[in-house]
Amino acid sequence: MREQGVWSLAWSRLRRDRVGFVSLFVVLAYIAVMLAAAAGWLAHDWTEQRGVSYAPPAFMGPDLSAAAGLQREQRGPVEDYGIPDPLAPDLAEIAKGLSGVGGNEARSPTLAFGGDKWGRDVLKKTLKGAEVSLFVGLAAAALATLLGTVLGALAGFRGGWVDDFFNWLYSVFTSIPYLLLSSPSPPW
Amino acid sequence: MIPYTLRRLWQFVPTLAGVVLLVFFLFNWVGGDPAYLLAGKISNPEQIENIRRQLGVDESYPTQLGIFVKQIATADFGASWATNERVSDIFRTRLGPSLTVLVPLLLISTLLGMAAAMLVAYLRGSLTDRAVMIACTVGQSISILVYILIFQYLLAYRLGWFPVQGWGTTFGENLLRYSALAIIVGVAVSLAPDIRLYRTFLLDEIGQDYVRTARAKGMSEGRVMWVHVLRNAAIPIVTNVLLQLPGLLAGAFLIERFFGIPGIGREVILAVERSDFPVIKAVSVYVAIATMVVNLVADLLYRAIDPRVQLK
Repeated sequence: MREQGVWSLAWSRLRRDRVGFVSLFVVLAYIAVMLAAAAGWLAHDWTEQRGVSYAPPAFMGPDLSAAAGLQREQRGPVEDYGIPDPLAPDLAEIAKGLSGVGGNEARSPTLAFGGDKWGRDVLKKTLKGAEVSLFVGLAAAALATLLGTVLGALAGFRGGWVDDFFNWLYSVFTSIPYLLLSSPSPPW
Repeated sequence: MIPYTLRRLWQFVPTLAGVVLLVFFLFNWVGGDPAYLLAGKISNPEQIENIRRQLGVDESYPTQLGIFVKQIATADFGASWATNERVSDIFRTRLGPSLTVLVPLLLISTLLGMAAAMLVAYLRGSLTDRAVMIACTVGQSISILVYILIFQYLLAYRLGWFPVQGWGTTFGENLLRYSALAIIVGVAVSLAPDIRLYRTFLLDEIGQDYVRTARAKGMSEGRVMWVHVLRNAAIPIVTNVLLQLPGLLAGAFLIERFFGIPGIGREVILAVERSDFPVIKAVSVYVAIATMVVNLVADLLYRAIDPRVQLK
């Protein structure tokens, strides 16, 4: 029998494992979504405000209370000792924009999986967001595996103080709450 | 046993030193300047300088590190930069609510997980086993956020069985009324991975020779499972639960935040957001010590339960 390489051995083992083989295609499908979103074939128009504000998902049907004009009634400007509200024109402008009347196209009453406050499609936002999440996750996992293998092999091979040092590093990092290490830097 | 314990305690020192250096380095390198945050949007350079002097962040790094070490030695981390509350008071008042949720949560999920794992391990390969394993995989694949939102919406908002969030003044009210839904969500989330893990532990034991011997000499299945297998599988299970505890204290922040529970996890998130270094320092040091102590206890427990284990 011809000698097999590591990769072909691994491949034939994966072929034999039915659950593993199906899972491979699930992972590949996710990567395909990530690449399609990155290339702009998928969800490139996620910023467009297609639906009404907080549009319900299509399978729930349109929001009837909004259609019947049952939304919060608009209150007029409050009388404050005869001083006219200096922001009144601006507020009217904003209210007009929010109600969707000012939009240059008709907004859809429902979206596939609903919309956010500005009427953007949640499904498209999820697909676009998955691009970043998957890339970060895959990159971190790949880097961690690479570093872990190299450092672990080094520690095991050299032994002595090298091993002690990496053991120390490991116990330091595992003793710190995961929350503090992964928390993003404050937003300013 | 005692020399071993003393040696392990001595090893705490370099690890703690590493934690101190890492936390200090991370805070000064990636964290923002707390003075700008405290001064607010409208501030001038003198105010900023004043605040920096009050906080002690204008001192040299070695001096600040020295203060950090002194704070650990005296267990006095001063006052929070954001609220001026004593750090020791923060921990004293926030630990209770955290434990009110975490202790019942860990107990219930461990007991339920062990019971279910015993069942599926005993029925290994059967339809029940496969159905439970598939259900666990599906349950594990769903984010904790979905559990929280759906449980809050259905059980609290729609059915009104629980308050959506909040916290009371007496222990009984907190435990039975306000923590109940948080505990249910926590159990629902941790049950699936627990069952899978404990099933593996139990199957490892069921495959051992002593189980075959016990069966061969005519011992009843109940005694084999409940006495022999369960006792041996309990070692890794107990270790696993113990090791989870320090991380959970700070890591249950999602549950604490969604249910309005004034616990440690919520305080950690707030401290990170506000660049509140005294609280961050205290949390990281306390959690590091707790992690090391729990590790040591787990190792000693191993030795106590299984005399074959040699501690070096």
